[in-house]
Amino acid sequence: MDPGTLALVLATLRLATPLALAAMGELVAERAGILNIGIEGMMLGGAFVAFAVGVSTGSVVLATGAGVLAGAALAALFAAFVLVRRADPIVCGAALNLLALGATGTLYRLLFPPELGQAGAPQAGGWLLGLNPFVLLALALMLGVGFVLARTQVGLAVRAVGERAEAAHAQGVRVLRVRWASTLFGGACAGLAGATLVLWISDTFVEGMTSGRGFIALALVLFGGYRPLRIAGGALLFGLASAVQFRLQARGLQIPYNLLLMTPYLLTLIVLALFASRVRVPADLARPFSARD
Amino acid sequence: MSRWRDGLEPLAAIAIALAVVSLLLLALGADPLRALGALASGAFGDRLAWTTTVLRMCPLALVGLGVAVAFRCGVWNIGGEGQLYLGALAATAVATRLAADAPAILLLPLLVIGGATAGALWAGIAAVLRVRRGVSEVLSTILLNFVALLLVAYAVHGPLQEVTHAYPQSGAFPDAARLGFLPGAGRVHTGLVLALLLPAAVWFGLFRTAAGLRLRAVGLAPEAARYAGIRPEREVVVALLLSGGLAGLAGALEVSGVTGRLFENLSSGYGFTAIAVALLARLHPLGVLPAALFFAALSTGSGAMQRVAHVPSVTVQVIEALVIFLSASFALPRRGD
Amino acid sequence: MTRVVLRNVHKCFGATLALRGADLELEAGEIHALLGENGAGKSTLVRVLYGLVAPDRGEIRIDDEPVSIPSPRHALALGIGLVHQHFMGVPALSVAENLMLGARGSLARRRAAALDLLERYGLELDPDRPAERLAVGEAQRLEIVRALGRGARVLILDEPTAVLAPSEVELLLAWLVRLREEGRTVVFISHKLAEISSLCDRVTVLRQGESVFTREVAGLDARELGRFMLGEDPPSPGRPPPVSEGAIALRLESLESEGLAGIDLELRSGEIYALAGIDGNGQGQLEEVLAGVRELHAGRVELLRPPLALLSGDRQRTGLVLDLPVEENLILNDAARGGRAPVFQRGVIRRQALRDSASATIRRFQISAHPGLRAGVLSGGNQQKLCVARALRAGPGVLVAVNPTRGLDVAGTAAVREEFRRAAASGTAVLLVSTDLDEVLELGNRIAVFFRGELLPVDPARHGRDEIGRLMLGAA
Repeated sequence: MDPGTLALVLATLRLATPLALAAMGELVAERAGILNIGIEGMMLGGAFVAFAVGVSTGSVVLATGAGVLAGAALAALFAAFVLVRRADPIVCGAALNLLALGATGTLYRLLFPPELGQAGAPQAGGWLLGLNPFVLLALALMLGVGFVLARTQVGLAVRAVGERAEAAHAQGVRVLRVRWASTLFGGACAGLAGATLVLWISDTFVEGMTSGRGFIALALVLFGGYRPLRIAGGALLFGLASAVQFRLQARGLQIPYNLLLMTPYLLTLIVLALFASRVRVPADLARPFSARD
Repeated sequence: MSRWRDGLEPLAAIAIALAVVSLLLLALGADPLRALGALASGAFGDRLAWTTTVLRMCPLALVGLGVAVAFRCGVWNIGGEGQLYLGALAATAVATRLAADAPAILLLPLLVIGGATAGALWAGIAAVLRVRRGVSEVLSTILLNFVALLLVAYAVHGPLQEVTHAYPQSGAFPDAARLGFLPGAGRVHTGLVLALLLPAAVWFGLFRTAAGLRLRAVGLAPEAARYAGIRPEREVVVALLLSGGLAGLAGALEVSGVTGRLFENLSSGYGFTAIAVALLARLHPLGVLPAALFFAALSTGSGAMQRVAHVPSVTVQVIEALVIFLSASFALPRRGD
Repeated sequence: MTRVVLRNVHKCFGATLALRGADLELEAGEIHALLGENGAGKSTLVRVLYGLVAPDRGEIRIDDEPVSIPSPRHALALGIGLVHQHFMGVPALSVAENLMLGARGSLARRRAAALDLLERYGLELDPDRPAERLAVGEAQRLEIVRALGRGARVLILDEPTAVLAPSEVELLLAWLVRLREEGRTVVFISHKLAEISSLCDRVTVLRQGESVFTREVAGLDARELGRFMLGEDPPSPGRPPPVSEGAIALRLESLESEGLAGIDLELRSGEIYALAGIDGNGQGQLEEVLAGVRELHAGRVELLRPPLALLSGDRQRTGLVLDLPVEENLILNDAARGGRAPVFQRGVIRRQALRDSASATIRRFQISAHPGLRAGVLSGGNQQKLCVARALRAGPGVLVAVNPTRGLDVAGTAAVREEFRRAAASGTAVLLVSTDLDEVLELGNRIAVFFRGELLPVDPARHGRDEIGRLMLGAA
């Protein structure tokens, strides 16, 4: 493989990984009936916490763990309102994004004021087969989620709860427990995705750095028809598109910078327009559940 | 009974949010009373403060009104921010390029209508995607936000940039394109009149007309509405166009009445805070005004809170988010479930 | 387990008092009937036993030990199973997966158990087929088998025969007898007196949320039972209205669509044309076509005496907007048409006119509500009356009513049927679609049977009740 193509492949993997990680988590949550548009905020929260812990401890592992926990913590807040108070998930997701944006932005300004100089987070280097550990995590997640959903008792419960929670409850499945676990898992994956942003894709934190990746991950779940393999494929597609976009910028093509930056969003819109109506969504998605009358 | 609830629940949400934040502040070693006091005086203490608050209330009320209308139709318009920017963009194009030489009596209505239309069309994209291609408007309006921001960035770096090319901003609006000020109210522009009148108009439309009944029915029980002969697709499009139009109007009023030119970061998240406004108002058009005032006060007062009580302004976003969470957990008119 | 006792159970749903001190005592090895008219509290009581409803007061004892049943999980662990009236499985999952849900052990072990269960009870179903493709009778048998597979010693069946054809009912009853021989207890909920006497050992009658008595079935006569159920003599069934040959008001020509295989129909003014049939043979699709919600592949609908009023079969989902007040529900169709009715003026609602018009309608149809009340708080019976009122108040040329008395008590049922007779007498053409064969026989001047998307004509001279039942199953 010539160096140019190799660089493109690596760039594709790099840009695809956070998307795939977040999407796998959202897949599980949605299969359980939880529509979580707050993964953008959970990703951002994970990114900031991973950055802060990374800079202060210098350890990639600790930073990653912290990012995962931050994502899960935000997911717990989300779940508390959606599952316990039965508040609307769209509204709560929007609120969570607002909270994450504001909190991370200002905490960053507080803890890392410009006078202190530019701090860099530790970076995760190559590993098995020269592949970055995050890529391997994404691969493992993809295979793991696929297997669990299709072939385990846990997966059966998750699918039943997402299709018809009332029926699952009548058969003795603990619906709320399954939904809590799925939501926390989704948040943890989003937090992990955020960690990759500061520990691999770049080494600093910028306010609002997720830039809609969480929403693109949401679209990927739909685009992939709720199948892990296809979702990963979609993530690669987007990674490729972003990588190509950077190349075009570098070549000084006469397309204005700002218009070029629109590519991922426009691509997502087109993909949604083409595929959204063909996907069969879990029947009980985003519908509240109450155990007892 | 439910009228009481309509009034008490938002107040309870605010009270709880403030209480939670006060506890957080106490835990961090700050003085919550001092902070809240600074917040209040920063928002209303002197003339500069309350005129700023009222100025911020204007776009919040208009976009919030649009969000309330959309939500009542079961349409999740999260794209208020982008629609606002499109409105500002269109108004700027009209004022600085397309009709820059027109007299005020022509120019002002043109840029206001242009802004509202641009916002409506931007939301219309999401409407078409939903009705024709089954794309959830949650995703499409959010994605369109990003595109709108980039469009504005492109415009102020390019076609609409000021002649001197010194900064990434549009040229200054000619005087004829500037909204006048209200007498005795400092910098508060005449657009405020619209912000005060439109909620009443929207209330009337929603609750006293057949069109409003159709829209509400679709939001509450789309299947039953369909069986009664109402076409939900049509109402969804109407709701989105109206919603986007109000946001676009807000954008046009901002550039014409407040800033006098277009630049990035024109809106300090008005489109998102407007969601909080709509929810706090329990989606009631008349409730949007006090709710918008509350959030405008938070925004204006946060600076003072930081300066005087040394409490970071992030606290305001936390209050906002908590208010949304709490409002959402009270029963709201929603799609039949 | 030998005895299950529910004592003094109270339950309130908001403003509705569903149960006030109901009792139920079950012995092992019996088929126990729970009888009562619609709204008496039968479903609520068994849902308390199954952990789906939390009682406000009352106790449950099993073998004299007090137990608490906070969720179905607990009920299943105690050996109690519930077969819901309508399929309570997960339609998207396969037959086997539905059986495997909630069971114990690894997936492989559960699947083996599921296949074994299907074989043991002679259910010839493809285990990997999605459950949504099952016919109603098959789905019900699946539910029963599933409950048995979970080791249910007490099996509750909620109105199981409502969705079955007469011969399928016989098959079900035979199954239940077999279960009794195995020493299990069966609770059989019904509002049909005839079924009880042939099958059940004891009967508990519920009326307005309390138990009226519990007695051996043998020796009880139907009229006595009926009186205990209603508190008075049951009304004798009415007769179809006399009919004069009116003009054709509605013509359906070769309607073809998903689920409809060529419907031909001519409906005349002043008559009630009743269509019987088991749920799922095209009734829903016909309703959707007439509502304008479903597209036709072929054929035509000709409305010769407009307007057409549709009384939907599902009052909560497609009938009413529960969150809107009564008066706004009444004008929903008018609002859909652009607001041209007297209550509107150029699209604007005239408040006083609306209120007066709604009040008049409420009086005429004897709905227990006032115009500004949210439709959702009305009782089921009043909600249905509201739907009937909306459909009839403008004096439509054609009325299409789908399952109009489902879930209504005897008084409400009689009132609605009388309204239809009156409407027909005043010239409305009424098309009645009902899964209740008795209703069809009582009201229909002309009768046909829905089967697999087609209409099979019925000649009352030649076809008796059993014969019609066979037509409903496609065997004639």
